[in-house]
Amino acid sequence: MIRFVVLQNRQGKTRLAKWFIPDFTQKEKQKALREIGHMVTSREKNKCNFLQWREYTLVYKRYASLYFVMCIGDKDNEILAMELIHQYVEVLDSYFGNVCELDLIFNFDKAHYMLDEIVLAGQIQETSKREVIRVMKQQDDLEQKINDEKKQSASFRKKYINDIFQ
Amino acid sequence: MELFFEKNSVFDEKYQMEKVHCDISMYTKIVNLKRGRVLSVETLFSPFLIFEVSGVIQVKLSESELRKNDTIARFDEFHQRNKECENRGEGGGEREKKKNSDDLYVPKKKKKNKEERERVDKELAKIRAAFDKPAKDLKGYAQRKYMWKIMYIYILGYTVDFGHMQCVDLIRSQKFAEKQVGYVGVSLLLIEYTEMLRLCIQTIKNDLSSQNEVFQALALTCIANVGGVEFAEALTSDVQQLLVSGSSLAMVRKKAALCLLRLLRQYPDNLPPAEMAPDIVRLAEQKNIGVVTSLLSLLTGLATYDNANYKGVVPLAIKLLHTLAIDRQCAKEYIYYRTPDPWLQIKLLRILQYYPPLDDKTSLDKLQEILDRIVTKTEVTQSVNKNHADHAILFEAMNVIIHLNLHGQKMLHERAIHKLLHFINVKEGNIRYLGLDALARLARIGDTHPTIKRHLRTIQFSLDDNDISIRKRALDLLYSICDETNVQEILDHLLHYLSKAEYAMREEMVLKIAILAEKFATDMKWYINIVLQLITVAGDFVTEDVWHRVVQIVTNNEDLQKYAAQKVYENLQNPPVHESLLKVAGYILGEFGHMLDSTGMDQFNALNKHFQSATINTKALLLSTYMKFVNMYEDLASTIVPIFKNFKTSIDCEIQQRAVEYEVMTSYENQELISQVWDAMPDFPERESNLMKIIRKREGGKE
Repeated sequence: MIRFVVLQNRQGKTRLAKWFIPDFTQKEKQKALREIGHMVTSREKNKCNFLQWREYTLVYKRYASLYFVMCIGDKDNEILAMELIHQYVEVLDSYFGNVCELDLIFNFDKAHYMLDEIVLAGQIQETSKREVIRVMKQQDDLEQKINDEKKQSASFRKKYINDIFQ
Repeated sequence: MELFFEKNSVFDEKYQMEKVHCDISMYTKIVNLKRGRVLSVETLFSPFLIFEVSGVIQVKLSESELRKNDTIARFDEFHQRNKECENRGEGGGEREKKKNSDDLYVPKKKKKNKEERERVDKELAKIRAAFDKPAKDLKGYAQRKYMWKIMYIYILGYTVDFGHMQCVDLIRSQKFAEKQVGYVGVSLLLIEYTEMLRLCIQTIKNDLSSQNEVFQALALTCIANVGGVEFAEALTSDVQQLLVSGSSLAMVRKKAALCLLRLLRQYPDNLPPAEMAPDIVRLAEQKNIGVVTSLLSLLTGLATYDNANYKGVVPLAIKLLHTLAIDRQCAKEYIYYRTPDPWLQIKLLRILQYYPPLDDKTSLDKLQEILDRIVTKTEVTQSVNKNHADHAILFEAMNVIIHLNLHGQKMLHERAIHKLLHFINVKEGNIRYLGLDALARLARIGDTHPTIKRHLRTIQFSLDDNDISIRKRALDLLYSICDETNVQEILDHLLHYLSKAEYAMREEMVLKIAILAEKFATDMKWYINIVLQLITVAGDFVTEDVWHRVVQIVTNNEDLQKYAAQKVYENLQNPPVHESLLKVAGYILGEFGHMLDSTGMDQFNALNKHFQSATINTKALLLSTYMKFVNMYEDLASTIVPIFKNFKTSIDCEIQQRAVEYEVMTSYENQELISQVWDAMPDFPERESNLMKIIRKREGGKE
């Protein structure tokens, strides 16, 4: 199973962190993020994408300024984890259109939702890009509906008040 | 480095910025633009970084160039200015969540930290005040905005200790957006506050039984992310119902499967009853691949807890694999770079490893056909991702082959080995890593050794690889294929490499070398040589267990004793002398020094030379040795007793105690009793080496 997923940029700032195992307290998480940041940013380009850290295996891939790090269990296939990272990036790209780090900063909730659709409880849930995007669009539509309703009610109120004070 | 770009810029609605398309050609034009405008940013797939530096555009192509001109620092400063411009302007609309100035970049780290902290505190105070007001005053939008802010602050790492009741209230709302915020808040903030979680259970139950699939999905995601024993107790049966019920949508069924898995892991007593098992297995025959993927994870988990009931899954898995791997039929959206759903294939292969090979001949044949096809037909193509996907499946198939072979079903291992041996020489690091890893596991099958050993040279070559991950794998592999015939060659190479290895690997190497030397040594003298060499080369990493083992072996073998004493005496003469060597020498000379030709005086001098620089523990050990010398050689008493007197006032209590007691013993009337006390140590009982225990513990953690 996947233990955790972390996105960090070159300066070590964490853009997204999702933990699937309960054994880390808040302080331990911070420490772990720092260590991983150091390890991953100091790797050279031509080294392989797998690292041993404490007793875990880390699979990382660098996209522009972001490092996508996934920590997997011992029995898991490492190349598969790399491909899962790539799949996640592709989903992000389809949804945001030419995704960049700013997108992930401003829409961290959407990034979390997409990760939730692909991986749940540390296991791969859905591997089809189309399906994930469909769910995200469904959620967006619901949100939009609420906003529209609010706008409608606001305009009704305005009109009502205007009518009263005519 | 110059750049040419079009004059026309496009206004990007999303970020309220100018977007300028640029083109790399032979020359650049440096253009002035208005301050406060970001032009474009590097996207995850494109290699160009374009930004504005105090009114001037520069284009840099590589990170190293960026750092050279300190452009990153300037970019960040500018980035921050940009955001402040936006924050000062309108808030609302799409971007509901206002951000703090996260300006923690190098080099002005400390100062910005303080600023950030102040800003965060200010925001938190504002939100706290807003929440303290009566609930009616807080409009839905504002409530959501504050919740998002709290969560962002929490993610950044600050502790947030309020807002929990708001989360619980929000999930009760029937509006989607508020419910969503509430659930995200619950899974982020409430994990450490279990009493609050109890309040949510009823709401979650309601959501699970509502017919609205979006609400069900939200609730299931929350349960899966939070887990916890209480959730498990209260909600497992509801989740189970959702899983097998005919009316659940695919989306809900997927989540229910994984949710159940998560709850099971925490509370394995709550397994679904055996009657449900065939239902769950049958669910895996669904058309929707997403559901099948999640279900397989659940089945794998259930198989680990309750093997017998879920046997029905194996023929199903083989059938599905057949469809994917050989017929290559798959719903179009699940095809990943022309490979039909690699993740599903690997899950199927993985679940096969949980069960011994079936007796049924037809399924065995099918399985063989599938594995054969995977092993032979995987080829290297241009597309990197397709390569990765195919090779991932290949390596998992190797695992299945290993598993089958270990259970007596001889199949395909020759071909597997050849493929793997070919992989070790490939240029790409990832493949080499996995090749070495798979070979190490393959080596557990007995008759593969001869083939692997023929390629010893290549493997040793991998030990010199640039990449530390690959080096570790190579070490593991060498360890597993070592036996009497090649142990000398391997150990020579390892020792030679040890002196060049970096510290991260040394401890493990030392351990493995010591064990290999002991297991396969034909000549015990050679074993002692190896260990002494180990101590000289990498003394810091030789743990106590290693030299304790040496002492055990020497004490138990009479013919080794003289040789060991001789060797340590020689090594003492060659500086630099490591701590551990001093300890070993001290013990062995104390016990067996009398067998040597050299006089007691010489031996004593050899040891005493290094006495002052030794640690407290070593000094204590050496004091015992000196006592043994006094017992054996009468003439040394006059030199040694003053040493004891000296240490009677030592600060360390262990040394003081020893010095006092030994001094008394030297002048004791009944010298015969003393001689008996200090007689040679008896043989050690045959015990399993501590070193083996350590390695086994390490491997147990890894496997």
